[in-house]
Amino acid sequence: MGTESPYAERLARLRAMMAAERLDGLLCYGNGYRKDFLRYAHPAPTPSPYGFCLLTPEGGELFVEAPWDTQPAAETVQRVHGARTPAAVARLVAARVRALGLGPRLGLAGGEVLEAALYDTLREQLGPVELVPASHAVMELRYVKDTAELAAIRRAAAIADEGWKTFVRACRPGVPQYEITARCEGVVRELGAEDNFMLIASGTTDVYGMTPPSSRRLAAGDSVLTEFTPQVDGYYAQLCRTLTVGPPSAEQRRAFAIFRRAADAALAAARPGATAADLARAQNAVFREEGFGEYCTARYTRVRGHGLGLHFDEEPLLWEDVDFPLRPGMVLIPHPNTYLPLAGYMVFGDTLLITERGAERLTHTARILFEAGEDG
Amino acid sequence: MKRGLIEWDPGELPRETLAARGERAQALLAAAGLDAALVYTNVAAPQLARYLTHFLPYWNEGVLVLPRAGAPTLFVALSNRVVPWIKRSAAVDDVRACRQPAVEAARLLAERGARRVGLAERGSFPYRLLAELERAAPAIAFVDWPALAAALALATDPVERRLRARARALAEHGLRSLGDTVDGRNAPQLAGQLDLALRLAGATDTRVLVGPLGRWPGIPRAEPLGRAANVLCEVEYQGHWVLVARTLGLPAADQHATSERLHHLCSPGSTVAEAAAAARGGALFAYRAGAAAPFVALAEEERLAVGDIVALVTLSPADGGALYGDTFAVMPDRLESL
Repeated sequence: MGTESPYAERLARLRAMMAAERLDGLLCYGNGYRKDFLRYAHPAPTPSPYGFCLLTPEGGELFVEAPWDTQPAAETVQRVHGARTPAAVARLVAARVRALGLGPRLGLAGGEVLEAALYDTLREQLGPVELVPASHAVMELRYVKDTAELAAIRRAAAIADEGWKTFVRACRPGVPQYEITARCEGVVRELGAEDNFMLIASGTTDVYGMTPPSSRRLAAGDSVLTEFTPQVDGYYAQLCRTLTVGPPSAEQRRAFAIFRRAADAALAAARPGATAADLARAQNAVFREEGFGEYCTARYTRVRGHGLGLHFDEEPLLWEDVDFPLRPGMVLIPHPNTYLPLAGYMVFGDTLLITERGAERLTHTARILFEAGEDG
Repeated sequence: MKRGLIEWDPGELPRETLAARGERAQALLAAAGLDAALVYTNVAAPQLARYLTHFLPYWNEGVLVLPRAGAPTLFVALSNRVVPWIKRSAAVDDVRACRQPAVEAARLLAERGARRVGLAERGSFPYRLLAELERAAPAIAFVDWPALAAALALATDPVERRLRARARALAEHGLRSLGDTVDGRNAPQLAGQLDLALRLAGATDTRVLVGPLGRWPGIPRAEPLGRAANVLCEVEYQGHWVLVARTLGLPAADQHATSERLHHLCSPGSTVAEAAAAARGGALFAYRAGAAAPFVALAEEERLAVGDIVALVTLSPADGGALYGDTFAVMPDRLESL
């Protein structure tokens, strides 16, 4: 690991945390459900359905399901180990911990998704070594993005902008929802995205939220909305936009104006020292002024935005009771996505980087209500 | 995450089929003296809950409560606004959105006076959930209950076979759409084009790995592939996954020969190690269609058991580093292509 590695800064922060927490090693776990803690320690993607990265004060080793141990090692690890079953992988991990003489405190990050079959074997094989929950300590490091992380998020944001153009072109009367997402998926893959979290909805006042695509066909007068969330080198950026099939109705225009004002209010409020609650309140205030305060509740909406990074729904969640101060280097998306009786559920939001002076918008798609078939 | 078509068509997966599966599971519960079972599900490991209800989470997690008698209850860490969608796309009427599905499931069981509850494939539950269960309902004994997964016999379930065959046809269609040669494309381009073809044809989800000839494929990276590329394609149709692997740019005769060899490497009851030993010095990996994840890796000593759906993948230097893989039903006398 030379100082040239783009991950040197991250590894240094992880090892400083390990020292502060008196951890003799750090085990970062990930699986098909969530790989974010694994990717923080081992940024290269692995096709393995699950894996551990063991960081020591001196080096790193990766443990995956064979044959994915044949993938080249990346900058943060020097050795890759493979076995066929979860129990065998867990035994390998424990054997290396013993061979390296790590202990008595081994941190475990990502343990929230660790399956019992793996945990039980690890626990049994580690003997007196204590597994210390370390997700919280690692998450503290993850809130503020380093240079390599921001570069990945900027690329993901650029792919989201390109993907939205495909979305706008794909939306036509008669097209089923799943065809729209298929066309978007194909494009973002070709552009180099590893994954994409994407939800969709179409309709008007019958739409209360977004889901995976159905076979419902678009009709004139529909609002069509999406959360578009490509992942590049592990990192997600998100773009929320709504379009209409045909010219927007007066209700759609009025509703969109409210969403746009709310999102603008969040953008204006986003700066170091402001809290997650401040951004939620700034958005909700617009709805309340317009007489739609009840649509800021859990009955109609989930959240006023969230952090972005190695997970597409990171803390802090933007709720009015989350007293979490924003810091330069944090990436988040405020989005006032909710149901309104005017035109149904709508979405609108951009990925923001908190800077020393305020916020930089990382997605650059026009902040307008689009019409299907327009140039996105 | 799932971004393809998720719908429940009772015409292809009848409500009666799902009800019969639930009744068989309840008979197994009764035989084991259990009051109920808990089935864990998340976006990457939904197979047992899918088998019983056709519920396919597109993200996040949930816990299905299956009582020994009566209707199941599904607790999901999703918004309550999504509940109508779940009820449309799965055969479960009692759906409850909540932040902590395991805690709520344990409370429900405690209210109902349950004493002994089976965890369907305990090892697939996140261990934090096991702790949550025990804290929320300390009077209940939560025990491992592998009987459901062991009794699946997916290969002999005609509905399961038909829907997997649909996924297999999608995979074939997708791979054919790439043409016969790499044609100067890099890995993301191949993956994007394959993904598009699969989803346009109705795939629920896909996983595409690509790499140069001679190497196990990986997450597609913008690197030159050369004249041939190893492509591993996993395709889901409404919860039913298949795995198919091919080498793009290989003469058709070579491809056919590799396919034939794979068919003849394995026989019902043979171990993975026995099949691998016949794989001309190459590596052979076997997976069983799943109790939790779509495919679960088999150890060398495990057998291809009659009734299983298995995926086999081989990469052999004797075949010039070509990759071949497919999904089979293990029948009493042979491995049947889907």
